Amino acid sequence: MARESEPKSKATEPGNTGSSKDNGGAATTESRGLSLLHPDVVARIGPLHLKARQVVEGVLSGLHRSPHHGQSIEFSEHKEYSQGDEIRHIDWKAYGKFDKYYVKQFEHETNLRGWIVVDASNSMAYSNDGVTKLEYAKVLAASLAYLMTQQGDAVGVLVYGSGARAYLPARASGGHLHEVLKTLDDATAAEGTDLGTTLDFLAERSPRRAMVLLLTDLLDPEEATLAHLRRLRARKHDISVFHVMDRAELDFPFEDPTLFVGMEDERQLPIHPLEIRESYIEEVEAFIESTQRALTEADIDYRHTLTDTPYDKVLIDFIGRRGHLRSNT
Amino acid sequence: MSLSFMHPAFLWGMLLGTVPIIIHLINRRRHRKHEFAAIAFVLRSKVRQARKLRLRRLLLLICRTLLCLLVPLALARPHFHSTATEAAVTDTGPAAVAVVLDTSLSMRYELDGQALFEQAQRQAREIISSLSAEDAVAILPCSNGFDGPLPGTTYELAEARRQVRAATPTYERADMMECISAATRVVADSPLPDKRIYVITDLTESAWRLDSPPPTIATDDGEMQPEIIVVDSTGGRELPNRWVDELSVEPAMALGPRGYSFNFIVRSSGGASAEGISAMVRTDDSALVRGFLDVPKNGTIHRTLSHQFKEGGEVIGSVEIDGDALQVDDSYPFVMQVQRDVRALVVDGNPSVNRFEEEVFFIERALFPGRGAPSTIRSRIVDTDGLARADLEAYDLLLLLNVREVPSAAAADIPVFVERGGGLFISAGPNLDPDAYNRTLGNLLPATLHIPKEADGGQAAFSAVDWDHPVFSIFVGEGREGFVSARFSRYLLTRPPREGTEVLATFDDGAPALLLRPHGQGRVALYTSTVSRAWSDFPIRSSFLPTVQQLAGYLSRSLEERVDERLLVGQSHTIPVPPEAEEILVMPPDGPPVGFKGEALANGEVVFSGTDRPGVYKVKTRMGRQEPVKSRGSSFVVVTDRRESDTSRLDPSELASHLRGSIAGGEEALLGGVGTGARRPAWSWFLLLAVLVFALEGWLCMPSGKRKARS
Repeated sequence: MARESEPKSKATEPGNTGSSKDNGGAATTESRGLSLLHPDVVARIGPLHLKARQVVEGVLSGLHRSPHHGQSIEFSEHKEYSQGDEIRHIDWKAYGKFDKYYVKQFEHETNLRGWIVVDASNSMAYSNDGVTKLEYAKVLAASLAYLMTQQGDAVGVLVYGSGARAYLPARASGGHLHEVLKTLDDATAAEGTDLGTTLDFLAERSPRRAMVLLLTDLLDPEEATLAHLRRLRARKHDISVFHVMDRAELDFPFEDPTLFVGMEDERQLPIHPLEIRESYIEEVEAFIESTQRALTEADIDYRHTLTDTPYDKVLIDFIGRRGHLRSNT
Repeated sequence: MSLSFMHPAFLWGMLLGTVPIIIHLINRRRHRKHEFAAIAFVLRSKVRQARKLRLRRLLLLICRTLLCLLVPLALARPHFHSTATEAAVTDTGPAAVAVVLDTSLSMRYELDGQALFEQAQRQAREIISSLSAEDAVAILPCSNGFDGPLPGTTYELAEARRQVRAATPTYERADMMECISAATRVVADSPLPDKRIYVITDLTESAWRLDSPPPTIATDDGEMQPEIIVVDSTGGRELPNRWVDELSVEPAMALGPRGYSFNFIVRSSGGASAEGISAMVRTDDSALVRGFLDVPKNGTIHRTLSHQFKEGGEVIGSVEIDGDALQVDDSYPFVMQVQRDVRALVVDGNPSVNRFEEEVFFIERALFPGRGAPSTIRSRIVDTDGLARADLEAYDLLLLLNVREVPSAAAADIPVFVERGGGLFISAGPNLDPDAYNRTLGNLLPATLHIPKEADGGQAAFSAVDWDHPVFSIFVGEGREGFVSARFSRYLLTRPPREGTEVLATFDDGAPALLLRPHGQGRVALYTSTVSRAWSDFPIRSSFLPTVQQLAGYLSRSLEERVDERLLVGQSHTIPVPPEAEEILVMPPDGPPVGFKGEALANGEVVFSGTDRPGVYKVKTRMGRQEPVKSRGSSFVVVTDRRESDTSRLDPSELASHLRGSIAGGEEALLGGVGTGARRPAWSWFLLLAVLVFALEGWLCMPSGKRKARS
């Protein structure tokens, strides 16, 4: 659909070209209304495994589903076709868009172990208008598990609150996916948040290098969270943090006098939101910026994810970014 | 500086000032509960913004409250007043205003070299300046009410100022309740809802009748009292005063002829007692007699000064004391007729070698008693022939004593003589020819003469005496018994008295004994017995002398001329008009003469009502084409009502309690003097302030980002 601009770098995912905010990525199935993989739409689909499948298949259809079964899904990058490249790796969709040949490159990796860590604390139950952060995180986690399983990787799950609440070791068997999805599906918001303890718990059970996908709102009162992440990273784990936020937590759209009540403790504050909106936004942006900077400095992948972002966009973005990072490393 | 309002009803709108506070309090209770995950950021923002927020919230509350207060305040049309006017001026909405300017005598009192009335004029102008264009005003210069039509209210404030300038103080007594009643009628006629009366006065006690209720106005809702604001033109100061009161002038026989005593009273109110106050009787030319007196504080002192005049005639003068702040009442004017020499022509109708048988003998002894009793009567005695040759113009009194008949040469002169003011006395006797008198003096005689009559038993006496008449008024008690003890053996009968004749005394049988009839400006007396012992023993009675002297004085008009007629300022005076008068001129003490002529003289008298100032008013009469000449005894005195001289101040609390209910602000407002400031509109400032507050409120409501960009 958008032909007007070319990819500006090899690392740029074709699906991210054009107005990504509007179309949710070139790989998504477009509709005149919401994307079929928009969280609100996906939320109306029944069980979690169907949701995950819907998301993943949508993503893969947009990516021209790779025929390389048994290969890792570590999609690397696009490069312009040159003589000697395999013709089967040409991205025809990209050709349709840009009238040039691009070849998909994959990083072949086997025996990848992935941990999906989902924050199921009370704060994850927040939603101003739409799905809760936990619901979003669960679908996203399920999709990632589904995708990884499809690639033959071993997937484990850890659901936590003030500590590890549900744990499923990483396995690559087909039946394991069902267990993973069930564990995720059973997760409900409860308790406070203690990510440090959770990461310590994970570190003990995953001595080998693994990929850790952390889905959390990072609203942990413990300031040592970053230190725990750094420690985990020091053990050669490949960490990606999906910072799940509701858009209301970012924009603070409230106007009427409101009594704000904390979800994990007894704190509350009656206030006129307009009086502090500007200050609030500054605070949140500063937090996001500082967190992103700290994680990036620690070589941890940071993904700011709003709950109204279509899943496929998040996944494709994640896949593309992972490939880019891999090539850089 | 004080604030007043034209539309005070709008002030109720200031209750809206509580609305922002109420909303603020309600909003504190109406926060919507919202569970929020990122409350930590909210709390941090709150902490960061806390001081700024609290200040902004407070400023917003203040702005909104001010806005709700200022808008109704501006709509109420406030005005500032200067300090001095604040108590006196309490305006509300458009009002019908009557300004009563006290013009009574006491307003001529001088304080610090300025008359109170001038101060009152200044205060009236300031009141007018304090009025708005929506007020209607009427100026009522008033001392004791209005006889004519009342002035109406006007919106022309310049015209009102002109009326104040044109007002002058009078010499009249004050009656402020009457003036307030008149002012009430004036404001009642105005359609404006609010009625206000300013009374600018010196608050002297005599000016207020506190026994009459305050005036009211009848409305559809019942009786309402106008707002009455009394403005003290003295600034609350005392007004000490001394004045001459109750002057009377009496003959002083001890001093001899033309000796008079001036009895007067000096009173004082307020101030301190005074010693060595000079008092004197003076004429226009010179001081006649002077004395000194000590006047106690709030006291009264009687004093008599005596003086003997050298000459007779009209004397215009005054009794004066040392001047004070109110000078008008420091003198008391008088006009008096000092007894002139009466020039009498005595005609002896029965000359005899035996003087004791002559009427002249007894008359002479009666008119000129002797060395110890000097008389002002100068006489000439002639016989009947001498009467024919006499020039009657040279005499004031003609006595025909037992004259047989009037000579034909004098028959024509005698009526003219009487008409021009001469006195004619006719006594009967054996010689008198009644028919001859009826023939020659028929028009003059009080009654047609008939025939002599022998008294019943030869012992007739006076009866039915008019003791009140000036001729007999000197007889009291035993004197009257002495008078009626005279016996008469014979007397002349008359026909019934003619019209206008007074019978001053009769005999036992009812026959007239003494008849009196005016003719022209003169008088004619007929005595029906003898002034010798021929028919009576009356001439040898002790009552004969005073009777003859009184009768001579009455006929020559020297008795009643001592009667000093006094009027109060404002009272009208009736002036008799002589038959041939062409014009009557009244000469006020100062100012142009007032003339009456033509039809104004048709009634035989004119009523002069221009007695607007104290002093002696002279009256002149013009006969034909002659120059106007002063009429004898026609001058009259106008004095001020001495009650007005009592400048004792009214107790303010007493007046306040009397007028309470019709005065806003009570006693302090009642006595608040009007000062120098004029009313200045303040509502525009309040409105401007409201706009500024509104702008500030809008700026505070703006999101802080925009606010920063704007600033």
